[in-house]
Amino acid sequence: MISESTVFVVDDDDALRKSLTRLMESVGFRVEAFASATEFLEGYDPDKPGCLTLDIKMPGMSGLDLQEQLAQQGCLIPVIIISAHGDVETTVRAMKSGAVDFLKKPYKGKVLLERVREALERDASRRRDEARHASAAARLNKLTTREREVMGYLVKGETTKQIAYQLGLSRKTVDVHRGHIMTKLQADSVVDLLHMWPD
Amino acid sequence: MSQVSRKRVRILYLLGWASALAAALTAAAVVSASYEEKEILRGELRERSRLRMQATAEHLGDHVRSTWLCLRLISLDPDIKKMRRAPFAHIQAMHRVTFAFHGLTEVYVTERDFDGTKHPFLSLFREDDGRLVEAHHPLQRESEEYTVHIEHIRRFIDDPSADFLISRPVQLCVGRPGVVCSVPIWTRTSMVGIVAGMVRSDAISEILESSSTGDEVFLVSQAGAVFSCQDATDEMRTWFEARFDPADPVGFFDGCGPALQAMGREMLWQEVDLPGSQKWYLAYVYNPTVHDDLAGVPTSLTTWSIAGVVLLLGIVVMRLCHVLPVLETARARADVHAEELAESEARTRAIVGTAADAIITIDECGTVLDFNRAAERIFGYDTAEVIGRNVSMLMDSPHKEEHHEYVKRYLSTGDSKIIGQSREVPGLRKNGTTVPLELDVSELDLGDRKLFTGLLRDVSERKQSEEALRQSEHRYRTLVENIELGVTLIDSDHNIVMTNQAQGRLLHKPLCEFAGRKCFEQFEGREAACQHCPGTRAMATGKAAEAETEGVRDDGSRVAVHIRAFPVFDGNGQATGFIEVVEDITERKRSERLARERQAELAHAARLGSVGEMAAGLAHELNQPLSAIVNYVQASLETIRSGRDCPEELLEDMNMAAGQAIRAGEVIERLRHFVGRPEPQRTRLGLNALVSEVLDLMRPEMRPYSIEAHVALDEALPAVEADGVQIQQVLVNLIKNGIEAMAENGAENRNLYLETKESADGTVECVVRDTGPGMTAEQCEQVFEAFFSTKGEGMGVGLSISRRIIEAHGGCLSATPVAHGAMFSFTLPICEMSEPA
Repeated sequence: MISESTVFVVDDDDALRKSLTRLMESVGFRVEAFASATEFLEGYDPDKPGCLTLDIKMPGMSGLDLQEQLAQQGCLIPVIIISAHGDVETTVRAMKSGAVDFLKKPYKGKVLLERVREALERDASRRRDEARHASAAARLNKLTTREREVMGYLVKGETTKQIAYQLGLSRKTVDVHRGHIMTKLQADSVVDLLHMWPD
Repeated sequence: MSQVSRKRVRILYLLGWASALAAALTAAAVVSASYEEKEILRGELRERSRLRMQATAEHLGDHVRSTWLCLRLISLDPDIKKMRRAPFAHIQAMHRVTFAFHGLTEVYVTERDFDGTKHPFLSLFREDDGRLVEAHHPLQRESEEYTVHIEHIRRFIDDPSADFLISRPVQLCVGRPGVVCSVPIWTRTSMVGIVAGMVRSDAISEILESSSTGDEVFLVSQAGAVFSCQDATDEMRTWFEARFDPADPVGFFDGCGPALQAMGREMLWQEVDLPGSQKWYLAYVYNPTVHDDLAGVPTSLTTWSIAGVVLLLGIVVMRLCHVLPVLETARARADVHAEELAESEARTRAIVGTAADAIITIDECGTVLDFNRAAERIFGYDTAEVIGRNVSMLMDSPHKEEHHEYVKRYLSTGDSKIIGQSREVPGLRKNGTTVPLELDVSELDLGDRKLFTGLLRDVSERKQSEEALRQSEHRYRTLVENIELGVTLIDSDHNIVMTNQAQGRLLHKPLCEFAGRKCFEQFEGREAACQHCPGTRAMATGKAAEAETEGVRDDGSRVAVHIRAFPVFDGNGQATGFIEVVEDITERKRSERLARERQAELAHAARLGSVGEMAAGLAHELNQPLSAIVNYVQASLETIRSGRDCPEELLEDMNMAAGQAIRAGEVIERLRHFVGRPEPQRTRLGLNALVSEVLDLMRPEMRPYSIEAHVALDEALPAVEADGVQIQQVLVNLIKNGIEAMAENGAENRNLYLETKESADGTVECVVRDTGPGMTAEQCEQVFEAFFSTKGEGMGVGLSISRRIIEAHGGCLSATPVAHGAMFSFTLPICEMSEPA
């Protein structure tokens, strides 16, 4: 999964940008580097899995500004902030905007790589969950209204007898609905149903 | 004469022998011989008179030329009224000086035969367009003469309306015979008066007298004036005046021989060289027969008695042959002696005449015989009060008491301490005060007695000015000796003429070691003139010149000095040397150095402050390369760990890492250079390089604010002499200022302009302009005050220190409000003889 991800590098310093690129490539990451926040916003595709390493002090839009803008847009790409000086204010602001990590220069190369790897994995897992939720939702849409009603009681852990009593249906009818639900949702047990039920 | 004598002796010898051998035949010969002898004696007489006449003529000329004339000034200018008595040479000098400016050739007063009567006349001669215009005016009385003078002066200056201030005639020469000299006195534009003087005829008669021994001597002017000696008979004088023809004097003299012969006289004459335009003639009239009885014989005797007498005479003549040459020699010696006496007297008179103002003549007893007008003025006595009294009344003790002894001693021993030499003596005035006098005494030997003539000049004014000069000299000497500045007079070849104590103290040398030596040897221990010599410049330019250098003492120690040289000129405006005024500036140099050091310390403290404020930016600036290095090294590690065989990648990563390490090193070096505490030192450097370096240092500060720097550097900028670090500090302050001013701006309008250029006034200028909120004109001045700040942060000392730094470099830092933002600019003087830096 990680091998399909891209590390997005945004840094105005040429040397730093190139060195980060080289570092990421050395461990086999795919890298896309941008010299400024604006360039990144123009060239970034949110559907691409990956993570973002971001310098705070940059001419034009700063790293924090970029991070906040991405958060507002609902873009959930993991962000690793790389800063020369980690003052409390900056750190808090970054974390509130959902930064996954905050690295202070100078950092250990290995640590950066680990953090990048973690971020990528987190992105990948998030994307996996999102995909699963999306297919479950599609299956739920196939259920009839009575079937969704029955499923609501099922995920609450109620028995067929209790559901039939509350809905004023026969136990037989409830079992039929239950059979349809399990088939439509390709579920083996009530536990599977629980995973698909959107809270 | 020896030729004549020998011939004569030979003739006499022949005569003697002939008379003894043939007495009968000698009668006629005797008559002839006695006649011839008479002729010879007369010739001798003529010769003697001629010699006397020549001596007299010479004496007369000398006297008139050198004697003090009775000068009278008729002046139009009240300032010239007090014309003093002056010798003839003075009149001549005035004439020479004024002649070119006026048309008058001569003005004189004389007696003239006019309408058959003799009257005094004022004669004026003037050149008019090359023609000589002559005017004569009778002067019967003084008042008349005065009026006539005014009229004619008025006419001669061609201004009938002119109002004259003419002094009254003091002493008239009119009506008295004499040699008159006069000259008009002119300024460049107008005649201011007439000076006239004359030698009176009685003075001339005296001279004529002195050389006459029974001869009648006449001095005749071309104009007809006749002067004669006392021995001249009235008969002769009348004859002269009646017969003399002024129109043809030479013809008269040449033609009057027969007439005089009838009167039993002979005459010798010659022209006399007297000053003035007239010709003068000296005539000697004598009786040629006065010695004839020495040679004459009675003719009534018989031939035999004649023959006997002739025989006797023959013997006498033969005796004479032996005696005559001796006689003649003695006579010639006496003539020469008389001539020498006359000359000597003329010389003495000349000396007396030119020596002094007052003339007092005394006899051997000290009795005053002559006391002139100038003497009256000096002593305050009238002539009548002094004449006949003893001269000691004019003397102060001890001379008063001793004078008689002085004269006595001189007369007995011939030993004098005063005759022939000037000396200064105190004179006693009538009012009891004394006056310093310069005294010359000359002696007049009249044979039987001696006269002494004293010439006295009042020298009190001279004494006063000498005293004033001495005091002034003393004042200046005191000033020069006591002044704490070395003062030295040096000639154009750098030889020390004179120096003062302060200069000696400065160089730890006694004064005697300076005079006559070369200044560059003594002052700076050099073997040739110093390159920087301000004296050479002062002499070349004629203006004061300065230099700062070091004096070198004999022990090798040095003293910092400031030299100011002033040129010294001779009468022609030619520089003949210079005066050097030398100041010991060791102390001043030391305090200047201390001030520089203090300023450097302050500047250093301010730099540390600046760096503190820039810490964040600097950390970033350092962290960038460090982080990059970490990345490259980690990348290499990962590559190696992965086991991939790609050495090119490793090589490149390592190269990149090394490059970033150097970058980090440069940042640190710049910082160290900036905050280090270097000795304040000025070197020749280019401003552009400083600007670029500071810009690198400031980039991390500018980056977060996205400030764009626009740099325009003049590539041909001349070098400056400055302390590089301090100038960088100024630039840091100005750029930081601009950055902070623009931090408030929107991101799209943050521009910093940096410019260097050469200014017209021999300076280079650096301009730092921002596009911040700008300042008011009042703030533009306030920002340079310490602890003034328009910003929330900072001490507000940066600009105040910056201004002090720039001013210490001889430049000027100022702020100017501009349309959008603020502009700071500073200037630095161009380093002399610089090439584009």
